[in-house]
Amino acid sequence: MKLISMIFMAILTNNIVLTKFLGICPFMGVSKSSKSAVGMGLAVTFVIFAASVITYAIQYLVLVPFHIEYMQLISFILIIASFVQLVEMIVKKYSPALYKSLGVYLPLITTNCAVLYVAQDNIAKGYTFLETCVNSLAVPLGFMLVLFLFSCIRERLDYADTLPSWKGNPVGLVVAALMALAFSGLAGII
Amino acid sequence: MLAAVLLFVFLACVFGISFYFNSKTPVPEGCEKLSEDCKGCSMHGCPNRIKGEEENA
Amino acid sequence: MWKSFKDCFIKDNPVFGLFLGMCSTLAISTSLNNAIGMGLSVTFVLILSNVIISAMRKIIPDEIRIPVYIVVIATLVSILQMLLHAYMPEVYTSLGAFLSLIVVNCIILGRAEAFASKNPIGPSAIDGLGMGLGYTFALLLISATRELLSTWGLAFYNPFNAEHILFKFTLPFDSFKITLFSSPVGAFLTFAVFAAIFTKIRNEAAKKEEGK
Repeated sequence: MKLISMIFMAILTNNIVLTKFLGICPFMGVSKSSKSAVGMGLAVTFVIFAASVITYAIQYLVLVPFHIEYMQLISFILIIASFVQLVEMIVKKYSPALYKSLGVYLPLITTNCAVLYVAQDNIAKGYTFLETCVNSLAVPLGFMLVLFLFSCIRERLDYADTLPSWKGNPVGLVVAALMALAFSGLAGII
Repeated sequence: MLAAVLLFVFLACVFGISFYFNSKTPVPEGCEKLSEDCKGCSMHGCPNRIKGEEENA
Repeated sequence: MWKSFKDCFIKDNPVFGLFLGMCSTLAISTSLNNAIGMGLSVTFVLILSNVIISAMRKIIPDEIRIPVYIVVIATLVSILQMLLHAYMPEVYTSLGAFLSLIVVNCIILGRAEAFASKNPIGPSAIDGLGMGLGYTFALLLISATRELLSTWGLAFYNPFNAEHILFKFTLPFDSFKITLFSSPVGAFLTFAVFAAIFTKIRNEAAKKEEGK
């Protein structure tokens, strides 16, 4: 039961883009077309899930037994970065079609705030392994949902007649504000 | 203390090696021009964007 | 060189001009104290990382430069985290997880790649200072607006000792406060308005340059 409410919270009420403001940089930059949004979302989901599992293992198998918790930030970021490189290498070699659709976004995910946040949040909230897996699958799905919705709106927004100083990012942020308002209305569901 | 330094060196080497091998893996055909969409993106530190700017310059 | 330093505040402002580092700007700007704490931390990391990367730029092989930058920045942020935890614990708790997220702040990696890897130490340090102060300036604008509108007053306490309040004022007519601005919606809206203002200033300046 707790897992199901965790999934709902991560996707709808505590959405990582609209309430926690993480992943805004790719949110504004990669949302020019809905196909690229879905590609980015899938890549991010895979990286966050795998990176969270690996960093959880490193935290409880290496950092805690040797009492070097202060190395958490450096080790996590190095693990995430190496994992992204590995994934890119594997995708390049074994699936050129997949690389064509999501290859551009993979280096971008290293500096995505959301990945590091989810990895550290799982430790900070003291989740068990199962809760870690569920959380790190649900959060990027919420990211993908919002990214997809935003890109659909943005495709049409580019043709609208906005004032020259509001064109591009400012009016996109106003749309994000309206989306945040809409999603915050779902807060009473759980 | 020693464990921290060893872990750091180990992870840095893993990262450096994986990055090096990744840059040596050839991009499959049809995928070289992927950095054309980089103008709208705001991540100036992204390797794709840097590669695209070097090719255009 | 000083012209590019002045540009960092209005024309090339990292937040409103280049749209880097938006994640932390939106999340931290709820109050003035958080804004100053975050802005100064980012400036500190930016100057040091620019200097170190610029000093090492001739000896880093070109293939592995991005990993080296990430390692340098991660080490600096870890040191900063420990320093803040020891000397300014209120700033540490109010920044929370966003202190670790300075590592993946697009500004630092972007400036390291775009400027520090190609210029000597002096200009890199000045660029780091300029970008960091521009970021702090942008954060101050947004957080002052949000705090003023949502709590109808401003408060600022000494970072080293939270009891010591440096200044604090509240406006009269308490019922006019708009608490929307302390929520995410308000963050996006304030940011959008300021981004539009800065874009307009940039466009006017560009038009004046062309007209000359």
